[in-house]
Order: sequence, then structure tokens, then C-alpha cells
Amino acid sequence: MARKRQICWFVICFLIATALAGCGAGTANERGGAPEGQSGEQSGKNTDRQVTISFWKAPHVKNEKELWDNIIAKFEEENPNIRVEFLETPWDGWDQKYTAAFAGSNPPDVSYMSEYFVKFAKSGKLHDLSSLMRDETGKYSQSIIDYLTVDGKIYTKPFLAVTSVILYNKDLFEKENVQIPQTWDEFAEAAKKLTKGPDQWGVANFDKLNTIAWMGQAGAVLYADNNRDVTQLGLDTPEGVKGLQFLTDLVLTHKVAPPVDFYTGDQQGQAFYQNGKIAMYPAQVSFTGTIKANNPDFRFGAFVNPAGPASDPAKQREAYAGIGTLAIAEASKHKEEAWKFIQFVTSPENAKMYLEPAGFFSPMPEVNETMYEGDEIMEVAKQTIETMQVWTPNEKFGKVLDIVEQMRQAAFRGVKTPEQAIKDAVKEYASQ
Amino acid sequence: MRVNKRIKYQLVSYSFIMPFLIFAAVFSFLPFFIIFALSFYQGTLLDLSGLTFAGWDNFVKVFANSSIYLNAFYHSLFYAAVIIPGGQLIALGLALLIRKKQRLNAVFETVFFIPLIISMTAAGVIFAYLLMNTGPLNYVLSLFGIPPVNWFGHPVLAKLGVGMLEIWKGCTFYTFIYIAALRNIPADYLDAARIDGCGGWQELWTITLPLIKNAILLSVVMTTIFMFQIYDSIYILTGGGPLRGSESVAFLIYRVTMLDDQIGVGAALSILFLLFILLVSLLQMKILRSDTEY
Repeated sequence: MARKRQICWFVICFLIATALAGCGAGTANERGGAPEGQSGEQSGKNTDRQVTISFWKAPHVKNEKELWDNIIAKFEEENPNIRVEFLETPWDGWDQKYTAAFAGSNPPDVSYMSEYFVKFAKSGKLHDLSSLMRDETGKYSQSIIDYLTVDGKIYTKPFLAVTSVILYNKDLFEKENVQIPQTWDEFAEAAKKLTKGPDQWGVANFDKLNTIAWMGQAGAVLYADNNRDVTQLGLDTPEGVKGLQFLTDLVLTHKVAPPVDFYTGDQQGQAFYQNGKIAMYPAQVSFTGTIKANNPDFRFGAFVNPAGPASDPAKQREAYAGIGTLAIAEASKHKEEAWKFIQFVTSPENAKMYLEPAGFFSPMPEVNETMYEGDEIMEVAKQTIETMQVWTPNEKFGKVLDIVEQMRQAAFRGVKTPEQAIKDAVKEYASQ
Repeated sequence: MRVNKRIKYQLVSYSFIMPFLIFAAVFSFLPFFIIFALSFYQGTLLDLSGLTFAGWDNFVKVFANSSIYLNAFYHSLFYAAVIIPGGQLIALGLALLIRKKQRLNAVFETVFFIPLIISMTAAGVIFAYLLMNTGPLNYVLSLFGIPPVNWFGHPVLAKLGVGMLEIWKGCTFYTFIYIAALRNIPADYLDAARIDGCGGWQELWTITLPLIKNAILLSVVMTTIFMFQIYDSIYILTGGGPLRGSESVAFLIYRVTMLDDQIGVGAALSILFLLFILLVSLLQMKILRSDTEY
């Protein structure tokens, strides 16, 4: 009996110990890290102690992990006591996943952040990099520094610059003898010539980002008061209606762009383009990295967006553009190692290891000078990077995209007129 | 001495239900009180320490923007109207077909059990493939000259798709409840009915169904509560679309809380919807109350 009791106690103690060990395991950055109170520098110098930092990023190219494995291997070789755990997080549900991670005590030490970074910065979840960036700000244009600044502080370091172009299928253009369109009218005409029913569409991929950009080409602005008031959308103007009407006409009236449900997800659309079923494909230029890696024989070219009717010449060829940044979590226990990793990744030499194969530009103009030399498509993209306009940072950016998605679908499905769809979108955003 | 014995007896009794009580306290009652408290606060998920007291503002906001939120409520009613009767009729029909203990029926029982052990994620992916424009279901329809159905392009069709997934995935659970109830009916009752010349339909309507009323009540109440909470199947199959046309209230609460980052409004919606589900469940229990004993 006493023996049985002993065994019972042993089993209970074992289970409790296991549970506590499990609870205490925490994130990768806590394992094998420096003890509380010991600075990262101290831990970094102690070669016996291995520090592990976590790095999360959503993919821009199909071989994302492979690219980062190479960069991380080089970093770890130079910093043998720092190990980097890379996690590729999907774009789908990005906002929710990162919000949950940062709301809990489990955020990644280093994370790649696009326009969403403002919300995390304003909530005190990102480490203030102002003092670390003091000597670096001169490397970037003032507009990029303004974009990064939240309440007077800089929380993220720019890593990449993305812009959009229209990729076209050279074979289809040659076959139909179509010239590169320079205006909206020429673009619509070209799309009509290139459309051959459901097996070949003139143009596709007017997603939410492109929809905003094309409304911009008509003269509309995303936020009210010429993009200064992010508490209200500024799309409800005659220019905004004109922009959405043009895209809606391509889908519903001219039937030169596929209906909303024609393909499911971006990947299927990209596959259709590479299979010659879509002649013109407005896309982020990084998509060319995927094409080159997976379909090297595909003959394609690029041109900048055709000029829309905006009165401001700077907006006539507006394209989606953004700055991708790297941030350190305020909760990270290895900020120094995390910064070391960010510095390594963003250095011109190492950044190229990712930017070139992925089809991105650097936010540092000096780096771009030596990239993509002789690359026909990237030369076109370089024209857009010089005039790129990024949207005003907004902590509710996720909500903006969600509302714009509903707006564009309502118009493209013919459920609402473009005017009504815009009005409803503006109203919903205002109700937040 | 007797009092001590009684206390000891009660302590022993309570110790048996203690694990469940602790489990319920941590995972049901505590979250409920937290949600209730959150419904009077405003702030962001990212900074819970910075929440500010808002009084009834969140509830006022829900009613002020009811035109935005009511659609999800109507969709939940649609799901309940389709899935509850559809699922229960299929579950009961299957149970009646395999009520007798036979070797072949044991095979069917195993087959019916399979959807229950598949995760909703896997089931959702399977259905997404089945229902896609170029999927097998539309192929079968085309063999009969029926044009392809755009299941994810119309709000009603998208909701029907979710309903089909929920029924396929969940209804056989109730089949097992019905089988257990049917096998509990004393054979004498049915024999006596047959001797008295009772037909199959009459037997079902006047003897079998009244005798399994408790099982029907249990199943209907359970499925009602589950159906008003459906979220995962919608997330996987339609993402709430098209145009938010397949969002349930549970999905809306998730969207408002996680995407819109309005935890106070999300909590207020949860409390209001909890009250609605309680009301519906009470009504069902009153209407279907059974005093059958056998």
C-alpha cells in the first residue's frame, strides 16, 4: 500500500514538473539565452553561451526560406554565438497572428513589418531604435524617415523598397501586334485586343492594393485632407469614382478582366499569367523573382502604369509602393543580438543576397545603383522607384485594406455601383 | 459526530466533481467574467494595461451601427434554419436505418464516425476543393447539362456550402445519440404495436419519436448552441465572403475583436449574443420538454 502511494506521489510530481517545464519553455529567444539582468553584450561576448533569436517574416517569393537560410548561415558564421530561428509566417491573417503574438509574451525578437508597423509601435510593442538609427538616417531620403517616424521616434529600420509595374506577356503582345499602352484609353483598347474569352484575358489582378493605386491615377487620395487625416478615407470624390468605374468597366462592361471568383488566390492568378492566359498583370515587381526562379523560359516584359486622368502629373502613373522594415520587439531579451542581425541583413552587401533574387530594391539609393544592371524589367521598375509615393502610416491599415477589399468586390461583382461602394466603404471606416 | 460524518460524506462527493468544476471555472466561468468586464472597456489588444472604462459605450456603439452588425445575425439565423433541421433529419434517418445491431450496420457506424474524427481544417479544404468552380461537384453537374455553380460567388450559395460542410462534418454525432436512444426502447412496445396492426409510419410517429423525445431535445439544443457559434468552417471555406455574406455572429465577433482591434465592442457583441442563445435554448427546452419515462 505504502509502495503504491509512493509511486502515485512520484507520478504526480513528475507530471507537475513536466507541466512547469513546458510552461517555462517559452519562446526560442528565452532558451539558452542570457539570464535576466545580464545584457546582450555580456552574453554575446561569452562564447560559451549560445543566444537564439527568432525572426519572423511573411514570404515575398516562393523560395523565401532558402534565401534566408543562406543569409542566416553567413550571419551565424560571423557570429558563432548567435543562432537565428527563421519562421515564414503566411500573409493570410498576418495582422491577427502578429497581434496575438505581440499581445502575449511571445513575440519574435526580429520581425519584418510592412505598413502594419504603426499599430505595434504606438502600443509600445516595438523597441525604440531612435538612438541606434541616429547615425543612419542620412542614408535614407527624408520621405522614408518621415514615413518611419511615429510620435517622434523611429521603431523600425528600412530593409526593402517595393514598387509595382505592369508585367506583360511578350508572345501575346507580338501575336496581336499590341504596343505598350501609355494612357488609360490605350490600356483599355490593348486589353480588348488581347482578350480571347475565358482562356485568355487582357488584364487581371486588380487586387485591393492596385485598386487604390488606380483610383489614385484618377486623382483620388486614400485618406482625407490630402492624406493627412488618417481617421477618414478620402476616396469618396469624383476622382475616386472615376478610378473605380474604370476598373469596374474593364471587368463588367468590356469583360477584358476576369470576374472576381475566376481564380482562387494570388498563386492561381500568377500561374494563369505564367501559362499565357493573362496578357497584362499589374504586380509588385518582386513577382519577377518568382517567375525567374520557376519559369526561366517565360518571355515577359514590364511597363509603368498607363497615365490616368489625374490633374497632378505625379499621380497619373501612381503604383502601389511600400517600404518593408525590420523591427525588434520591446519584449525581446536579446535586443543587442537582434540589432546586430538587423545591421547585418540591411548592410548593402548582405541585403543584396535577398533583394536581388527576390526582385526588390533597397531603400538606400546607393545600393540600387549597382543592382539589376542590364535587367530590362528592373530598369523599368527603377523609373517607378524614383517617384514612388507611400501611403501615410496608419495604425488601422489592416482595417483599411479589409474595407477596400469589400468595396472593390462589391463594384466588380456588380452588387453596388462604384459610387455606392465607395460611400459605404467611407461610412464603415468612419464608424470605427 | 453525525455532523462530521455528513460533512465528510459531502466533501468526498464534491471531490468527485471537483476536477470538472475547476476545469469549468478556469475555461468557462473565468473567461465569461473577463468578457463581461471587457464589454465595459475600450482599448487595444496590444495594450491591455491601457484599457479605459467606457461604461455602456460599447453597447451603444453596437446598437448605433446595428445595420453593419445585423447582417451577421441574419446569417446565423440562416445557418440555424438550414443546418439544424437538415442535420437532425439526416442524423435521425441514418439512425433509423442502422438501429438494429447487425454486422453490416457496424460497418456503417464506423463509416459515419469518420467525419467526426477529421479536423474541420481538413474537412474545409476538402469541401473547398469539391465546390470550386472547376471542382468535382461542378464536373458532375456538367455531365447532366447543368451549368457550373459559383458556390463562393453568391452569399446564399456560400452559406449553403458552409451548411453542407457542417452537416456532413457534424450530423453523424447525433446519429449515435439517436441510435443509443432507439436501442433503449423496449422491444415489447414495438411488438405490441405491430400486433395491434400499427404501420411503419404510424409506429415511427406515435411510438418511436415520442419515446426518443429526450434524445431529440438534447440533440436540438446542442446543435442549436453549436450552430450559433460556427466560425471555423466559415473561416476555412469562405473567409466570411463574398462581401461578408457568409459571416456568422461568432465570425463577426472574431473580426471586430482581432482585425478591427475593438475588443470592447467585440465583448459587448459576445454578451448580447450569449443572451440571445440563452433565450433560444430556454424556449427550446420549454417547447420540447419531455416527461417520458420508461
